[in-house]
Amino acid sequence: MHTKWSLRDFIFLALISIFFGFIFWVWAFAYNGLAAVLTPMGLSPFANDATIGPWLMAGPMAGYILRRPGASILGETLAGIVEMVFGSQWGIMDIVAGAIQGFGTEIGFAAFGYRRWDKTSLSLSVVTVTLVTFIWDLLRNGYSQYALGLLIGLFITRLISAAIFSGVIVYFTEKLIAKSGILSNDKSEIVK
Amino acid sequence: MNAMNPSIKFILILIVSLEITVILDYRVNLVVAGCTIIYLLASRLSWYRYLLLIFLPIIPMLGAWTSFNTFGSREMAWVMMTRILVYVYLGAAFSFTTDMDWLLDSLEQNFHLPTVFIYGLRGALSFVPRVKQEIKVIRVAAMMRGVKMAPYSPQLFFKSILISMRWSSRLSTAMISHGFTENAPRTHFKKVVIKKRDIVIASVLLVVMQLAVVFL
Repeated sequence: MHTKWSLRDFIFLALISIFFGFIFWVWAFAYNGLAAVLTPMGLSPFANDATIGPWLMAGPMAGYILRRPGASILGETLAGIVEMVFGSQWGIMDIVAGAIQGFGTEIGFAAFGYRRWDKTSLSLSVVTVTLVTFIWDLLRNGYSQYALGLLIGLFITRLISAAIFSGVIVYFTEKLIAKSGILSNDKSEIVK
Repeated sequence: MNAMNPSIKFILILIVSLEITVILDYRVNLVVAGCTIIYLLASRLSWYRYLLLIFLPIIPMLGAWTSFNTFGSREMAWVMMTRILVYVYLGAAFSFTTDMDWLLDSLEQNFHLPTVFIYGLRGALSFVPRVKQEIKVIRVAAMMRGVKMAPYSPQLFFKSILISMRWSSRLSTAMISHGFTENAPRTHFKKVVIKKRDIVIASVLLVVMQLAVVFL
C-alpha cells in the first residue's frame, strides 16, 4: 500500500489545515462565549463538547478525500501544529489533542481496511473519534469525576457536534469534489 | 539570555504537560505553574502578553470551578482549576519564547525528522497571510452572486481544498525545481546544537517535579 508522503501531498495537507484553522478561528470565540454563559450554572463543559466538531474536521476531511492510511492522523496533527503556531491558549497540548483526534478518526476508516469510503465508514469514524476524544477528556478535563447523568449529556452533545461537522459537512464537501472530478478516487492524482 | 535548544524545551514541556494530565494534586500544579511563571517573567515578554496571560485562563478556570463544585467534588475543582493554569502557562512558556524556524531547524538537525515534513511545513506556513486573504476573496465572490457563505458551508471547504491543491502543486514544483530533493541528505548553513547545559536544566526540572509529586 502507498504510504510514503510526497512533498506535494504533505504541503496539500498542511494548507488544508491552515485554511480550516482560519475558517474556524471564530469558534475559539464561540467556545469562550458559550463557556462564559454556561459557567454560572456549572455547565461550562458543554461548551467544550458542543464546539468540538469544527476542531475535529481536518482529520476526517483529509482521510475521506485522500483515502489513504495515515491521512487522518497526519492531517489532524498538522492542524494542531498550525493552531499552536497561530497562538492558541493551550500551546503544545494542541498537538497532543490533534494527534489523539486524528487517531480516533483513523480507527473508523481502518476498521474497513481503508477499502470502504461511504456513509458507513464515515459514520463509524464519527463514532470512534467521539469515543476516543471522550476517553481523553476523562483524563485531561477530569470528566471521570463528573456525575453519570452529566457525562451522558456531554457524550451526546459531543456526538451531535462531531456528526454535523466531521460527518455531514465532510460528506457534502466530498460530494462536491467528486462531482468536480478534480480527484479521481481509486488512483487519486495527489497520491502519485 | 542564552536560550535553551527548542526541541529540548518542546520535549520537556510535552512530558510535563502529559504528566500533569494524570496527576490529581493541586499542589504539584501550583509548583509547576510557579516555575513557569518565573520563567515567563525572566523571558521579558511584552506587557500585552502578560495581560493576556492574566486574563486568558479566567473563563476556563471559573468554568472548571463551578462545574466541578456542582457535579463533582470541591477537591477536584481545585485540581482542575490549577491544571488549566498550568496548561496555559506551559503553552505560553513554549509559544511565546520560541522561534518556530529555530524549532524546525533543530527537529531536522538534532532529531532527523524527514525533510519533506520540515520544509513542507515551512513552505505551507509562509502561505498563512495569503490564506487569510483568499478566504475573504471566496466569500466576497459568493456575495457578488448574492450567496452568503457561512463558515460551515461545504462550498467554502470545497473551494479551500481546490486552492490548497493548486498551491501545493505550484509550491512543490517550485521547491523541486530549485533543487529540493525529497529526504536527501542536506548540508546546513545554520548549525543547531544541543548543549549539555540544556539537558542538565531539563533533567533537573523534571526531577524537581517528580520530587514534588512524591513528597507533596
